Amino acid sequence: MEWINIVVQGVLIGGLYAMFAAGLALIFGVMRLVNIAHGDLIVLAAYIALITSDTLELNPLLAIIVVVPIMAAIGYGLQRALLNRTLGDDVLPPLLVTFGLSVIIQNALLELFTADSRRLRAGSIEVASFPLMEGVWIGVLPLLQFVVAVAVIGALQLLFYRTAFGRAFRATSDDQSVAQLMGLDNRHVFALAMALSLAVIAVAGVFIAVRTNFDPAIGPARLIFGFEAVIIGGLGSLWGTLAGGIILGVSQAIGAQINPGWQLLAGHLAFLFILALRPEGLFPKVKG
Amino acid sequence: MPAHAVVGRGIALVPEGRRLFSSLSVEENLLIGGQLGRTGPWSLSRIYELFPALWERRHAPSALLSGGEQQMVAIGRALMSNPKLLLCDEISLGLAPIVVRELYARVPSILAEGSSLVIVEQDIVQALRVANRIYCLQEGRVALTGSAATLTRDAISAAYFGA
Amino acid sequence: MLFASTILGGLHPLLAVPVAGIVAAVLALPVAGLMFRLRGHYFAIGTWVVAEVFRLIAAQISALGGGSGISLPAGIVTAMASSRQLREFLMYWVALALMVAVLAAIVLLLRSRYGLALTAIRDNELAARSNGVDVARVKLVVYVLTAFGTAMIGALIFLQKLRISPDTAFSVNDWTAFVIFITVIGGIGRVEGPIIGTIVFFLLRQTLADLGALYLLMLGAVAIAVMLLAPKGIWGFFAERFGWQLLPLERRLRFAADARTT
Repeated sequence: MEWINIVVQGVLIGGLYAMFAAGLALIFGVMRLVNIAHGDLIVLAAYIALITSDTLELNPLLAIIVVVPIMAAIGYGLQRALLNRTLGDDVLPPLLVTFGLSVIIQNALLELFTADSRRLRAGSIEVASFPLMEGVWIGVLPLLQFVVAVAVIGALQLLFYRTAFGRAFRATSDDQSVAQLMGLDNRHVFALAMALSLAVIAVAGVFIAVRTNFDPAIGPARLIFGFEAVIIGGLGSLWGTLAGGIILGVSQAIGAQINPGWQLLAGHLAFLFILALRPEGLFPKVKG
Repeated sequence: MPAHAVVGRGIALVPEGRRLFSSLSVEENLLIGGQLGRTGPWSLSRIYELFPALWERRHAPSALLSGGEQQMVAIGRALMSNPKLLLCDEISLGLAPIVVRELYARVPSILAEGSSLVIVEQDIVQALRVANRIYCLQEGRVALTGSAATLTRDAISAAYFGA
Repeated sequence: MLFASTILGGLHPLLAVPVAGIVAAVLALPVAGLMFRLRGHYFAIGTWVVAEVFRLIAAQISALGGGSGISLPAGIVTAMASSRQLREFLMYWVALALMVAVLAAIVLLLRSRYGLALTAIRDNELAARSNGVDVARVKLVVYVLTAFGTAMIGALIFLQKLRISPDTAFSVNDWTAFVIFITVIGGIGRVEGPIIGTIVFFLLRQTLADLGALYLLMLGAVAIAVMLLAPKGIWGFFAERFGWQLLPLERRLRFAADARTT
């Protein structure tokens, strides 16, 4: 029973990791950009959620409605003003610029909000739970988070493969210069992809803020979780990132059960193990 | 003018080597070509009429098509923008002669809808069949020009290789 | 590693510096094997994960103080040099010698056949491979060599600080970030770059360090600005404009104008 419980909790937290990963995979897929500031943007979203729910006296979960458009706008602006200028054949400039961005966001948050841990209060839903079976209790909030994660990934998948929007993303990803000849403005397409990525981040950030304490320095660790989930899942599909997130969440939960100090280590080792066995990830992209 | 604005002015390109969007299906490739929504004679169904082979394979990943079919998609994709001017670069590149003939047999139907074509081509026989005017370029200079009716293959090869 | 070998192995601290280098080089072998499976961007974050793993493992080793870290015992410190002054004097010269040695090694490496192979890989990996360059081996050699050098420097830094803990030693901000900024500001792909970068970095630090978080914020902004405006760094910018080269490494292409056919 105890182990079932651990696995269930791991799966539920895995949904959160999958949301980190989906945003990361999305922009990598469209413009081959690894956003080092991804984790810090998650934290930024958490702080924006904190401000909006404080000032508007909203339930934090409703604050999502406000945070998502703000983050999407930040994403669009960031891509147009800064990141588009770094894209090219060389992989180094975008990596270094987003790294600089990561340092800037971290320290700006530190300056504005101090290093104190913060937490969003969502009321009774935080502790509500129901029994799944004997000895296995499921928290309403973790379950909600998991359901939202699945819904977000499902929606992204639909958008990517069923809409004109997604078609433009994929065409630009395949061949930027020909896509331009078809009338697609790649700078605009990239900015939309970044906006979408940050919208996903916004949802993840709000859930982080409600579920755990956060401070300006936790961003990079979130980036690593997202990154590991992407690699474990393989770069093929967004559902792969969900599987990757779940594997990561479960290994962390098992590791924590063995020894509290091993929680993160177990996740990293699971990642390295899968990388050693299946460097393409579990659901690799089929090359046409 | 940025590259993405060119097609809005009615100029479309069939690039050398076809360069389809490999992760998109045939139909999705065509839809990308028409995504600006310029109106005109060409639509999905008209493209399938022009190249019936594509209708059967419309949901296939474009990377799995034969070279000739890929070239049809590339031409169809460009036509979907309803261009006033269609630029075709090396249609015959890497294709079997019979496939090249088949593709050139479609050129009159394209012209009939009112688009002008500029074709860069090494296959002189095919070019002579469909062209009104021929320009032979030799190291960046026009070495020979004339209407297709007046130029012979011998005259063209003389322009390139000397008599 | 240094702390482990001196405290647990009873080695002389200065001798432990090269030992740390060798241990790191040996550790780098399997790490490289795993990490080279990742391409480009993902390689960067993959190595980050490895660093995290090392940090977490280090935090688990109680003989080294676990998560809170450990100081060098006084006995070992005095064994190195009798007075504080003498110790710092010694440290300075060892550090300088190491820096000269590392720079010399880099210059020599780049001017050797390996250097040519490396340049070829940088320009076009596929073409280099088809011309008989053993890409995997060359990359491995470079990776292991840098691990060796970096570990020795790391050992020296903490020998000077006399205290280590997993969090400070594996801090991304302190080490990687600063090193990246130094390289970016100075100029990537040039040996002179990091030297210039270090000077600029310490000048900035001297003048702005009081600002705390704002200082780091500005450092990030400066790095982004340099990356966008002068992608080859400050040194690269001037080198290109004035043709400077302190340590000639580039194999320049020379065209004799009259030899060109038309």
